[in-house]
Amino acid sequence: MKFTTTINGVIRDIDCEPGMNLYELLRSLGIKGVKQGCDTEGTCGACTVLIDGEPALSCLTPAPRVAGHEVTTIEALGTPENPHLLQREFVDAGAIQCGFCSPGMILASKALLDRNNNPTHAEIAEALSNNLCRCTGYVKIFDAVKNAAAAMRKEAANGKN
Amino acid sequence: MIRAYHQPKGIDEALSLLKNGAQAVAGATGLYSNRKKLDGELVDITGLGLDGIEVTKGEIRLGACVTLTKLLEADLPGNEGAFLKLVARHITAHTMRNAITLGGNIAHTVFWADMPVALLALDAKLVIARAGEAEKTVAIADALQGAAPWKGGLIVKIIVPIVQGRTFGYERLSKTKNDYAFVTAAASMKLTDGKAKDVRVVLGAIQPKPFRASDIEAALEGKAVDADALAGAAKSALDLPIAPNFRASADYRRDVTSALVRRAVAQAAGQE
Ligand SMILES: Cc1cc2nc3c(=O)[nH]c(=O)nc-3n(C[C@H](O)[C@H](O)[C@H](O)COP(=O)(O)OP(=O)(O)OC[C@H]3O[C@@H](n4cnc5c(N)ncnc54)[C@H](O)[C@@H]3O)c2cc1C
Ligand code: FES
Ligand code: FES
Repeated sequence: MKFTTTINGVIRDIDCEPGMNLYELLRSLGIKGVKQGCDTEGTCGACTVLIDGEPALSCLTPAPRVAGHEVTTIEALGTPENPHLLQREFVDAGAIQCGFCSPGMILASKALLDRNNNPTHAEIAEALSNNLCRCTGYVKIFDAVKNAAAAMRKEAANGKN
Repeated sequence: MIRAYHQPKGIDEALSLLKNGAQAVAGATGLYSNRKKLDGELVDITGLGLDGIEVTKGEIRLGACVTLTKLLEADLPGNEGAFLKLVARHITAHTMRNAITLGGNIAHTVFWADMPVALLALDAKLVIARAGEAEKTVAIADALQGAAPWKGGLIVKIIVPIVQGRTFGYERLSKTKNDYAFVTAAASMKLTDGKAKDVRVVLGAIQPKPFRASDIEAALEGKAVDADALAGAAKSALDLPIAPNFRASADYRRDVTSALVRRAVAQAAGQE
């Protein structure tokens, strides 16, 4: 079926099978930052993307549902030379080991920080409650999100935002 | 295989597709986690404007497509509002709650569904729509027995009555905060002159569908909720039928059921 959607700021005309999920659609477009870490059953969060800025599990999102909406994947966030603030803090804090959970973690963190740049520990736990990390033990991920929040507040105070 | 994905903008179009055998999709969390087993056409019901929340003097009226996140962020009155939120907060995790809808949580009738437990304790009603028929209102307790009244149609609204002085208790045991429950127990009542009235004791996750424990309710009705009454409720909970569960044995869950019933009733009576 045919529809139009915006993916990472680019308007795209899609023609896909009606039963596709958003995860399959994004991978078929060569967007490999979305990962599948469970049996597409909502338990891992590695497939997290943002739809209109809010986190969604792409494996449980019917692809046609993003018609007319904006999808953001990790590819939109930065480059190796010029990483997004969250990516930089994740690297600096050692919050990335195998990296499989990182796109989902970072996007879920972005949704949180975009609305609240001074989250409590409990608010971070809530925002990341659907994201499983099998490596880090989470402590460094929480550090990274807190450091990114502090950096964001500093940028805001300096009027750069 | 999913053969078509319809995105109607109006309820009449949706209802006629459903009448012709298509299946509704709301949050998609239940349907798409078993997507390979689907065969037929889907009707996306999230574009029908069924996500409103309306508060009147005596009722909270929730659109079937209200998500758990929207429910948690809404301004809801009374003990009823607080109770709905307490239950919603325990269902899975943040990103899933952005998708799961109230209607989907009811219609996806699985043993772990938590919202129907709450709605039974709340004496909620469902508004059901069907092509070519007038909307009909069904008590949740009736809707959960026998054939689902929304089959071939839609749950469009959930009506929660606000009752002055009604109090609630809720207990849910699971391996982690957002895992399936071993057992869920909810209780509600209205204490009048120290006596419990309109007692509801509801169990989830021990049978394929949540249900009211009518014997326990009857034993508490009209009595003071004292130590004897609580012990009695805990004891009769040991006689409730417990279905097998992949998380824990029936024997263990029988003991848990008894403890949670006691606690939920004590909480509703303001004792814990
Ligand atoms: C890993 C995992 C763990 C979970 N754990 C829990 C838990 O512990 N407790 C809990 O309560 N839930 C839990 N859930 C959620 C639950 O199992 C369902 O996925 C969810 O309630 C379905 O809601 P939905 O809006 O996504 O419905 P959908 O998946 O869109 O639909 C589910 C069913 O309901 C029907 N339907 C949807 N809306 C309507 C309507 N308005 N009228 C008529 N029929 C309708 C559909 O046709 C379909 O048959 C869990 C889900 C997952 C994937
Ligand atoms: S792949 Fe695991 S939640 Fe989507
Ligand atoms: S870094 Fe490996 S899963 Fe999180």
